[in-house]
Amino acid sequence: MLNIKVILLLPLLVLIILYLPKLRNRTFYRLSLIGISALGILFVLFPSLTDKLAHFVGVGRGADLVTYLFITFFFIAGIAFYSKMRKLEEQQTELVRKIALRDAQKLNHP
Amino acid sequence: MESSKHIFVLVPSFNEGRVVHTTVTPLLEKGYTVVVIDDCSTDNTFDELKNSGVHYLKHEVNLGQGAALQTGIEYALENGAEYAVTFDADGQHDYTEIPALLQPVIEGKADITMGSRFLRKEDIEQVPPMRKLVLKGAIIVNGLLTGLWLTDAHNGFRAMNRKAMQCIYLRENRMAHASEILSQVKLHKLRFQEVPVKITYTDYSKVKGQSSMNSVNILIDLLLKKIL
Repeated sequence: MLNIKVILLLPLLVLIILYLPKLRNRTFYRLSLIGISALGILFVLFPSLTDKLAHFVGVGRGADLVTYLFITFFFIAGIAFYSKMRKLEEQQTELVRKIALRDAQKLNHP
Repeated sequence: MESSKHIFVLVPSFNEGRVVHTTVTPLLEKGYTVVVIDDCSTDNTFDELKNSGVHYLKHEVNLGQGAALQTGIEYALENGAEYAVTFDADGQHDYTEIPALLQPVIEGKADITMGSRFLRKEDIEQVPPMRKLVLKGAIIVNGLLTGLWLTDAHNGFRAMNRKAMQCIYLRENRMAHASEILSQVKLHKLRFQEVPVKITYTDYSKVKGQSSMNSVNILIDLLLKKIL
């Protein structure tokens, strides 16, 4: 029988192997990736840790704590993506505008 | 009266091929410099304008009306415009009202004027009831967000001098730019006036114009901008 731990660990390991080399020069993202994956691996291997942590911060069950953390991260990621998207949109606008101004033409009467 | 060719009429246009020629012809006859900003139309807009004598600028990607206006303003500034008038392509504005709209700007009484369909009884009667309700709501939202209380909102008919053109920089690519103009008028302490104008609601402009539901999107854009 395939252990649930294996199923949960595999994507985490793949994530690290795939993305860690790609995030060159982006120390913050690299450290976050390492930190979060390490935490994930730790929680998968020793689920009772989440319970202890949950009690420590005043949450009933470890699983609940993980859910709350997930929701929080999800929203933070959403906001980060939104501002990134706005920035890309602004850059795109600038580019499109430059081309429009450069290629402006007077359409003459016949 | 200033020479008309220093008056740039900016016509943002997105898939208005059916009417854009009719809209720009009288403007050109009046001697205005007409700038059509084609926001990546997928119809025959370009062909319709081919022999018209307009200045034609094309966005290679559809960005929205606010972005098109900003492109037009920059073009006008670069090409020596004294005044710019923003004019909808769908034919809902009346070109004979341009001089009245420009007058306070030319006389130096205002840096920017905005057309309002809620200043004359006969104009108010033209506004469909549902549109009136949405606009009234938008007026309140604009007032609360920008501190400028006007009688109309989202009227695309405006006139401005170079100072206003230089001060205004639209970052809201889509329809929220109408409120953004107001915030910038306030920020740069531009002198502004409202001028009564007529809006013609043809069947075409009603279909092409914004649906009332889109006002919800505009509101969300504005709120997001306030928060983020």
